[in-house]
Amino acid sequence: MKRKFSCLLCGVFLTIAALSSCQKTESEAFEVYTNMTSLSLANFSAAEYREVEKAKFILRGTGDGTGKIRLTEEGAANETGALAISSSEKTASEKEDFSAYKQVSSLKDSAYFASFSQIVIYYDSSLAGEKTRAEEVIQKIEKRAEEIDFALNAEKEGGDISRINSAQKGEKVKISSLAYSALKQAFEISSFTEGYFSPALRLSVDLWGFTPRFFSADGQKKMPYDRENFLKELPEERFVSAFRSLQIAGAGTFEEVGEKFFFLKNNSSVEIDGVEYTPQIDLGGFGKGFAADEAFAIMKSEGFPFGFVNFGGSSFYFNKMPRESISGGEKYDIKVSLRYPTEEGSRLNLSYASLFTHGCGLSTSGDYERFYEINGEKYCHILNPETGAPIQTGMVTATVLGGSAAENDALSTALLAMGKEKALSFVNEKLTEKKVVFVCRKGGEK
Amino acid sequence: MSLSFVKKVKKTSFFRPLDLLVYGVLLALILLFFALSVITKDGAGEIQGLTISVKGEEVAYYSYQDDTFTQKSAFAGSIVCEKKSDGTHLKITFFDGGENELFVSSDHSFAKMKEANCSNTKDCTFLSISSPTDFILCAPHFLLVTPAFEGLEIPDILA
Repeated sequence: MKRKFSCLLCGVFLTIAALSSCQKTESEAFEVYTNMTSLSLANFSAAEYREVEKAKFILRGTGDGTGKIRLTEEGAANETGALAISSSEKTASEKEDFSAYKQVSSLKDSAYFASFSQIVIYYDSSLAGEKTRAEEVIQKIEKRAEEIDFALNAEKEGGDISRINSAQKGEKVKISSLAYSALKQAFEISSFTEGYFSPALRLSVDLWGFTPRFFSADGQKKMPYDRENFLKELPEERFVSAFRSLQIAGAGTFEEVGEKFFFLKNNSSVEIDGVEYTPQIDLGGFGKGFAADEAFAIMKSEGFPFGFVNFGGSSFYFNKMPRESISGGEKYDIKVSLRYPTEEGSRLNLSYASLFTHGCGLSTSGDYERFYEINGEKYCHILNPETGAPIQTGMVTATVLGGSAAENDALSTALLAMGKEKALSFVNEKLTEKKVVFVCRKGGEK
Repeated sequence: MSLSFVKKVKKTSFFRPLDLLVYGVLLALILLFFALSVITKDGAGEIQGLTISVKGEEVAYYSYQDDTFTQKSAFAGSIVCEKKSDGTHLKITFFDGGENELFVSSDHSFAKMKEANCSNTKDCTFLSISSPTDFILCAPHFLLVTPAFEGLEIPDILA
């Protein structure tokens, strides 16, 4: 009897143990789409990154060589822990000697657009005075970044965007040539993306708690629409729809008179509880890319072909790198890993894909960068201009490279707002000149 | 261990022709890998100085740039730096009687262990440092000399 009871007890324990080991955490699955070619897939071992045990990246669309995304057949998708994507083309050239190259760099925290900046220049140390010259170029770039930050950052009182936002409806605001060219470019991209990128979303961004004043506790209850606790309550629907309609109406138009530039603010406004709201401009992500483009232009004009800039960790311009080769890439390439699109993975500095590139801008947007959750729903800092609310498109991250970093900034944001189906057709119809990678949750749009 | 097992081992020949071929191929692969890793090293850069470590801890640094010697932390011994016409001599004396003399040529083209009273074989005196991947190890004295160099670092980017 005792023996039977012991056997029964052992059996129970063994069964429980077996069931426990069979229980697996439900893993999240992501679908990856890209118009890049020359894909080579690599697998992480689960031991390397524990996050990989929980998530799968399934390649659902690959490049067809024309810049378009071709969907893979059902069942033929590749499951992998990570992707290695080669974006550079082979450039046959003479071997160069980079042994004399050294670097100068500048790294600043919260310097421009409330984010960090990194400027790196590689110079030929065999040339007399080159190091000093490189350092002077870095200072020149920093000065230009400060000017751009002042002009385009809505937080900077007295700056062009700040003055536009403070102006009355219908008011004509004199702006700098810098702000004029940046705003024109931003509005052109807005039109190109059919409104999925909008530079006039500031009121909505502030409403949802994603402007810099929410970084500190004392900035959170200033406006009539602020909630007691913005992390636990949703904004009132009347504000959401009012600000959406303001955004759709447009912010204003431009005027150039000789060498003077003006922004004519739109004559639209909404009034809620006796407070009048006019269209407000926010060039958050776009401004960093714009600064990256300007930095590259300075490097080029000063004769420094090697180096890169990084604004905010999401807007880059990669000049050439002084190297003959790199495993997986080509001459002059830098290896760029794309951040794992979850909060935990991002915090651990993991990546889901890597690519090699040089001589272009690169921008990444993701819903994991800034967000909060209310009742199990995620609300991130990327807003859908159509709804005036954080995106619920199932898209998690998008990376665009090639050409201007400012364009890529806006485009990566727009792709997230579009959702999977729209993003696929948009890339295939309009973005074949750019290289794109975007990731969405399996199942796509909600 | 049984007698039959011992007899089996004795009968085993490790030098059959096919075995020799396998050993040869393995050795060739190892040498090839080593050669490739040396030839294709990326951004090696020039040597900036020498780091002297005892029992895994950095105790001193000799800079090639300005020919200065800096003791970084205490250890069970002392280091005396002497500059002579042929180069710099670093005499390392351990309290337990161990002695090493590290020599750095005046043009910094190489550094080698000139003298050591570690053991009969004195393996460390056959080693020299003339490239970033070289090192000198005097195992009986737990002494390690490694080059410090500033290679061109091109970071990977996380975007």
